[in-house]
Amino acid sequence: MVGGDGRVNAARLAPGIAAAALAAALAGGAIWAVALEAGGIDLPAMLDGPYIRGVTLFTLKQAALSTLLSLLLGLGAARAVHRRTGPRGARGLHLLASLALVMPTTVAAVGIVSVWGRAGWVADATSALGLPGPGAALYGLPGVLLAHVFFNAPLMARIFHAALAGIPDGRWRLAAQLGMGGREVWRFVEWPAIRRVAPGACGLVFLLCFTSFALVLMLGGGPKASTLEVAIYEAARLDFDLGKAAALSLLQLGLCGLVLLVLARFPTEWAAGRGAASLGGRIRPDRVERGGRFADAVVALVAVGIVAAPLAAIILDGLRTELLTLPGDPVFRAALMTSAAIAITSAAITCALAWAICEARRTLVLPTRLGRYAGLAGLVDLASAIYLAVPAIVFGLGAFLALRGVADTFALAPFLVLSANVLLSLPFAVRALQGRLAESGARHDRLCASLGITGWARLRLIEFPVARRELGFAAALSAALSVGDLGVIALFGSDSFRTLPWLLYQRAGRYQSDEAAAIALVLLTLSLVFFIGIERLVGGRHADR
Amino acid sequence: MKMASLVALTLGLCVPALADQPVLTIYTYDSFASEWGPGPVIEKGFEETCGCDVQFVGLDSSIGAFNRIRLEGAATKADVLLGLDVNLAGDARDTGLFAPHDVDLGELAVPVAWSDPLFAPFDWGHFAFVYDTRRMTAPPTSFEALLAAPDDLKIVIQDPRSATPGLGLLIWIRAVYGDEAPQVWRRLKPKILTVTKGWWDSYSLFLEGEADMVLSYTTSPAYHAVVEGETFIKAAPFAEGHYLQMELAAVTAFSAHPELARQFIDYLTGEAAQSVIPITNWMFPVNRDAELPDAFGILVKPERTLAFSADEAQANRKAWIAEWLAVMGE
Amino acid sequence: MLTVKGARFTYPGGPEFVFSLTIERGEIVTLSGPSGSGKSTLIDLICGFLAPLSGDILWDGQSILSLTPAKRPVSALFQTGDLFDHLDVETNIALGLDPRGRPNPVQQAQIRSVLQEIGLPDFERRLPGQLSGGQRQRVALARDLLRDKPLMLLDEPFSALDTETRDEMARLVRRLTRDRGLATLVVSHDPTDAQRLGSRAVELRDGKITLSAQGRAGDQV
Repeated sequence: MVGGDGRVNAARLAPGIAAAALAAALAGGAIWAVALEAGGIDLPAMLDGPYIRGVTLFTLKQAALSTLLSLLLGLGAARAVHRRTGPRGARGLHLLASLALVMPTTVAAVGIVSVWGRAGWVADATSALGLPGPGAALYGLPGVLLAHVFFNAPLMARIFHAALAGIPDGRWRLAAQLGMGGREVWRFVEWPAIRRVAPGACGLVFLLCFTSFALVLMLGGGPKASTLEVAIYEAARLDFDLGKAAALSLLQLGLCGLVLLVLARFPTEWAAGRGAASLGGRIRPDRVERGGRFADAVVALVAVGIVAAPLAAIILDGLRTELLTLPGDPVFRAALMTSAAIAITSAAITCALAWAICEARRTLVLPTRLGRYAGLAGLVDLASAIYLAVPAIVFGLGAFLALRGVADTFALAPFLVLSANVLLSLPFAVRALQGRLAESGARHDRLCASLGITGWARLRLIEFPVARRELGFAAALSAALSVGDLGVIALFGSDSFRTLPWLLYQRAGRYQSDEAAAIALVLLTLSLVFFIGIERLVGGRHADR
Repeated sequence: MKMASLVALTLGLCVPALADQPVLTIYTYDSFASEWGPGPVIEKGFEETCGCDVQFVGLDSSIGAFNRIRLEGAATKADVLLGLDVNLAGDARDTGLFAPHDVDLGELAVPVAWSDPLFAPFDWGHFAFVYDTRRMTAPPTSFEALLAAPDDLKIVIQDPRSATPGLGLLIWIRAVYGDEAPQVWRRLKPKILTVTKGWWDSYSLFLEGEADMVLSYTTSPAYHAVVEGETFIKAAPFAEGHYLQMELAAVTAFSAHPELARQFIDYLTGEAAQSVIPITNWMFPVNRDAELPDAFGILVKPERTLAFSADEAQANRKAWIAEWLAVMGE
Repeated sequence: MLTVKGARFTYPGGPEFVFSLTIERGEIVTLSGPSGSGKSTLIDLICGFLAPLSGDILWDGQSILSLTPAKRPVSALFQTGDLFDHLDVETNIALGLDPRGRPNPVQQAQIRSVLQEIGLPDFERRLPGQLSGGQRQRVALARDLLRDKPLMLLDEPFSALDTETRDEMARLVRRLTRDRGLATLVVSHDPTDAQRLGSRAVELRDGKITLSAQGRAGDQV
């Protein structure tokens, strides 16, 4: 299997490496196509004086802060749910996590504004109580952070909760025996599990926040809160300065790539054992601590304010419209079918590619310890995620430029949107599967090798049953991300090819905000359906616990 | 099957043409070509007399349509570009990708004199600040009044780099105040609640009650009056005048059917097509004889229309945006 | 007979291991040594998960280095992961016969009989999670028996068992080695295991195998 000099089974490594390379090539290729059209990259534009520097610094700052806050709230929520609730609480958390993801950013922003804005629920409450209201305090860095936390904390909470649930019962028993307080429980029991999953999750969230555009602008209060993407957007569209667009895209790619590489240095081991019948939550000794109760209460309050309330606002907005006329609209039905079809296809392709990449990653573990292929694992991680750093408009431009000699881009629109969705969900699916596949590999590799269980038999008999739950999560996550995506479709949508988010965007742009709100509610529901349906179907009956 | 044919009807796709019918390809922004927009009716009307098949290609925005033609260059399939913003006319002229339309513009009813041989206007409006009469009983009626208003009057505007109205406001203030524009922005800044990427973002903030006024069009109230039956949304008339928003159409220089394209533009400015524009595109028609719905009668009619020439707008755009960014970033 | 001749392996930045060892058919050898002394490395080399940097490993005079783990005349029982927890006992054992895990009636009969042989009759449908430590070991042993490989490696097979079960298992291992003429290598840190098994004991120290009281020529000092 592995030679003394670190030779490795190429058949197991190749598909994953190829998949990761393909993802990176598509991402970089789009920028390259744009640069080619411009006749080169306008390097001076990259360092275009104080403006670009200021914008870059702000982008870095808000992305870093957003990631940190999402991490803190997600962690707090995960611990609170783990401490105070059982399987049903876990299920609730999982479902909540699935809802925020699918929202188009502007819908989410409106939801947040309905709660925290100048004329929002909080303002109404404070004025009723005679207290000074929030006023326009939302619009600025606080609003941006609030929105990013809304999107990302639930997902992080779910990832962390799964990590906590995966801690072997033995450790909790020991902790209870030794009467550990909250801080010791964290240090000795929880942190080792969290530490494995945090860097991967943080990397993705950072990228999402870094490339955030409409949201940052809308809640940021003004152009002081511009991200690099605004500058790229301006260059690509208004100025039609493709050289500058390519240069700035490269800058963004470089910065994000750097962050990913840095995070890849942190060791990721894997959870040993399943948390299915986890005792942990019930016997952990810090349940009875007063400090713990207080912390959990605070977390619950914050979670409600930041996540649940805006969601409720969106749902209420949707319910207030003439929701029931939607199913009668053939355009709506067509968009719904299109969205669902693309989501499911995208999920299937994403899972296949993610599996191959995880397989390659775990094949690299032993050689890496033997000193071979040292940076390859980190590169694979980087390659699978780097698409997130490419602005949709640049990807669209690049795709058009690359394909215009070959075929009509409108005819190809479904494939372009599908590719974009696969690329978007790939890093999430990889991280969802990674831990379990690596652990199962460590446990079963030798046995399978000595028994001669390979290929399809190994997949069917060993791998799939063992990683089924994680695969279900990865599939549902990919489908939800796909259904809510409004990036590339905005550039290639047409009357014959519409998805739900694009329909929402179309309607909203024509004063039809009621229909837009109704479609937003449909999106939420669809995401829920995916998470319950796909997770159960692929992941097995107890997949979402 | 039933749904498919229903969709086809709704989209106004014409009956499959005979094999030898020429296809007139029109690049436009997608809401024009959608089933709610003027596209389908205009398409049917023109096809009745042209002996051709009209195909609308809906891009994501007017800038998107223009850029698509720029990218395609001489190989473009477009015969007509429909929806070019007047502020981009200079850039469009410089590309050399457009040919004369040969339509007599003298008879058209546009607020400014327009005689460009390459670009023909097909609808127009003015930018205006829109407000809710239920929340605001005495809106500012001039820029000066707006600037003098207390800072708790919040407005929401769009970013000129990503939205046409945002750019429109920038140029509007320039037209009124000239070189004093930066000062005006400084005075306006505390009242700006936020700057959004697109028009919808800011309009929805306005509808939510977050902002008291939003930068939109003089025709916005017409939508609410006609479709929703609501009359509490109004535009505030400014004494200094309003900036023009005008949409242009052009024939592409590499069109396969230039004569047909020119005929289309002629049809576009004719009474039949123009009558559809008000309640599908929510803009004013350019044809004198086109009927206006009653709701348009209640709209604000600016006393002065401000407009830079296309060349001036083009030459100064970058500098004006940079200056705006500098002030906003202080 | 197994011959390990000067098989050398090094982890980067780590110590160098050199192994030389012989085991005859029908013989049990117990290998002990402190942690990190290379016990697992030796097993990995014999099984084929690692390839030695130099030296050779022979069975009955023929080098087995070029064979994949599945093709080597070795069956190994590991410390962890010896059974698939999500598959029942019958399927686990069947995997020893056919990597597709679907036993035909003939094979099913074989499985039934071997389960009898190791003292777990009618355990086919049970899941590993329902078995005790000793029972799991025996199921894994049953699987390896069915593979009919002449060389058997056991990596810490008794560490999780109580004394009584240990004795039982030791008796089973001795019986199987004798009856089937297996060459058996048992890795164990417990010095009493060698006695239980009545085996020749060798010790791994500083990456080299040393003699013990019952040493023999051919084992490198």
